[in-house]
Amino acid sequence: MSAIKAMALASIREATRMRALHIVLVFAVVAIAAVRVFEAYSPGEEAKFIIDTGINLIRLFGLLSGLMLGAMLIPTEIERKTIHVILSKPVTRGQFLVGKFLGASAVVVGSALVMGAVFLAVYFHRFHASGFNVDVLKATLVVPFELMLFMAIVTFASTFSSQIFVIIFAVSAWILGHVNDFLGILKGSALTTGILHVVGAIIPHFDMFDLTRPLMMGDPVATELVWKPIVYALGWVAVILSFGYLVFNEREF
Amino acid sequence: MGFKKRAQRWLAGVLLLGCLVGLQSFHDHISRRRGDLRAAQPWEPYATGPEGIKTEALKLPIEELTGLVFGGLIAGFRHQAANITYWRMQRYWEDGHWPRVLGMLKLTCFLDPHFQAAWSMLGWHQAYNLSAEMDKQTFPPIPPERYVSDGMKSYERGLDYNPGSYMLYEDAAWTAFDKAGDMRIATEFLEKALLTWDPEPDVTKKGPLVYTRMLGHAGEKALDMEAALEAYQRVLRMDPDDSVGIGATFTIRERYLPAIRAAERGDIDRAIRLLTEVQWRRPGDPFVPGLLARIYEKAKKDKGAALAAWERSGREWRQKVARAEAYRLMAELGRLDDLGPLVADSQVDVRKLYEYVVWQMNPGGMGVLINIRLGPDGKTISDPRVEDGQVVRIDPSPDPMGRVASLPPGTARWFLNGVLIAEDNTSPYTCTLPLEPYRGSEMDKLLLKVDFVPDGGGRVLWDVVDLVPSWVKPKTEGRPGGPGMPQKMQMPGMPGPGGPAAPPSPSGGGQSH
Repeated sequence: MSAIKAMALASIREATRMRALHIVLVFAVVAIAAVRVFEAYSPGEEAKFIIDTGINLIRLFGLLSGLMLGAMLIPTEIERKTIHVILSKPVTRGQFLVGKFLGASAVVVGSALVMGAVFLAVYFHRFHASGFNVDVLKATLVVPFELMLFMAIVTFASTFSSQIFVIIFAVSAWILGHVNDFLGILKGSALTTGILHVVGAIIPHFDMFDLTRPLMMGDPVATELVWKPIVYALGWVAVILSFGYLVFNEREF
Repeated sequence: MGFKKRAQRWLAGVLLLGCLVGLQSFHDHISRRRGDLRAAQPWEPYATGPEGIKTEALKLPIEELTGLVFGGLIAGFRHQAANITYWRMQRYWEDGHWPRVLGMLKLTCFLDPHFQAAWSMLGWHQAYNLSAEMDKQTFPPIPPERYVSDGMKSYERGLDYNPGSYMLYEDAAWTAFDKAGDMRIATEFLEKALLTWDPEPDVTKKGPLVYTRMLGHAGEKALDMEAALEAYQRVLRMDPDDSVGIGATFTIRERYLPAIRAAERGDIDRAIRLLTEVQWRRPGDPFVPGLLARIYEKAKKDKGAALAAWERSGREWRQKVARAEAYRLMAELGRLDDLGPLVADSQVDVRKLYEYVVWQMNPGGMGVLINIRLGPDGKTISDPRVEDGQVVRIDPSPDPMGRVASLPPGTARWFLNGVLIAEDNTSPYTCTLPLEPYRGSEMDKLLLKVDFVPDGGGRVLWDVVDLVPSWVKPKTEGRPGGPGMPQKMQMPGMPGPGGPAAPPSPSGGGQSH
């Protein structure tokens, strides 16, 4: 356990030294704080605009941070040959993988929490007259878990490929995960439908984490729509990291 | 690699695949719950089907499908992407490029089904723009009704996603009322608009008043005068000074209810006589032919007379209900082969002149409108039998409605084609028609409007029921008259029922209130 913790802390330290990550975070915070400036583009639908834009900015900048971190997660260790030093110590490949994932996830989730706090402050400052809306908090709360799931995919891809491929793989999975339901309703031949069905089964459904619709419709956000996607995300993280371990364990350096 | 290690790896792989299956079923469960709780982002309505989003997207130039749109689609920025497609649509709108407008609007609704303005624009675009223009640009031509129907479907689809949108209910009701001519649907949507009306975004703050007025108009158009009267009573409860409510209530009570009551009592002849009288005095009344038709068919079992009445209504007022009823009766009587165009263009022109010239000149709504045609030689006046220099006389009568006038009391003013031709403040109030300047001109219509305020009241005599132009000669030669119109009721000084139908007087029913 201490090995995992040490790996995670090392990853966090490494991430905090990345200036690009700082810039992304600062830019994200400014963008989210400035979202009210653009609310005039949706007259009469200001709440809808702020919620939609704010939560999606958290998601987008979280994705960017995750890619920057994930691209250098394991491939960089391999390129620099530092992985040999690490694995020569009493650290198993599984511990290395989980530690790297936890460290990178902590940074991404931490960034998302900061962005979420800024978003909530902006939202409640704008709509303070209508009181504290716990549903906005719920919709914001699931986003870090979506990013954690994304980091698991990045970690998995980094066990067997280069930086560029990690980015391509993770972004493709993200896109497919968001349009999974859309692909499911497209009509096509039996073969196409079958392929889409398989794709739908092996790619996590990222649209599970989007709770903006009830907010925009003025409907309450049921608690089960928060905890069930979180359980779903944790389940997928466990499965993806296990697959990652199976692949990483066989890899020759 | 040893067998044991390989077996362990396979076992782990199988276990993980089992986990994937479990996660998939868990996902299905969450998806169902998200659907039940209306949390899932909708992908319909244009995702599938022969005219789905794929077809629409293929019609668009490639530069429209920008990375931003796709980015919005996949990363969740659908609302923002919809804003962009909406802006692009507005550019095409300015260019009048209707097919691209349609594609962009469908794309906008696809990206953000909660974008109410986009649904509103889509329905309007189909029902009004495309129905008016696209039938001429396609081969084989697409009937305008198809586009109107598509527009109504778009409103309904938009309401599926925005069930609390009074704006969409209002648009759908207006389109059903004005374009589709389906008063039942219009009434249904208006009632929903009343239920969902939100005062905050409504800048006029008059939504309920306007919707209830429209309910009254829809009731009149559907010839359900009881429902119309009830709606106008609701209007007056909201605003006791509402001129539309006052005028319409008066009109219905005076013109239609006595006949309807008589028919309910079984006194069919009296009901017909009362309606016929109204028709004589007000050949421009758009509802009397329909009411007569119903009485002919249901009470007198005279389908021929009913058909003639519906035909007249459909021809003169272009009422869809009347045309449908005429068509039905023709089919029942085996006379579909006789079917000809119901629209007489000259009558349509008169209505437009009336609406655009007279009505805008005096939106307060007082006057009499006379359609005068020159003969084929362009010099003689053939109809309605008026001669140059003839005297027009009106008689004062009590002011029934108490509408404020801009005229001094005891004054009458005559306007011919919008030009003041005479003013008289001595009873009896007369005017000499100066028709000579118009002889030989290409103008085949003259518009006469009379404004009048009786003595003592300072109020406009808004209703022209009692104003009988003395110069109109009684018709002597036979002309196809209205069905069932007894000759003994042909009074001097009134145009015959087959004579030129004047456009609606300002106090007439329907939209003229």
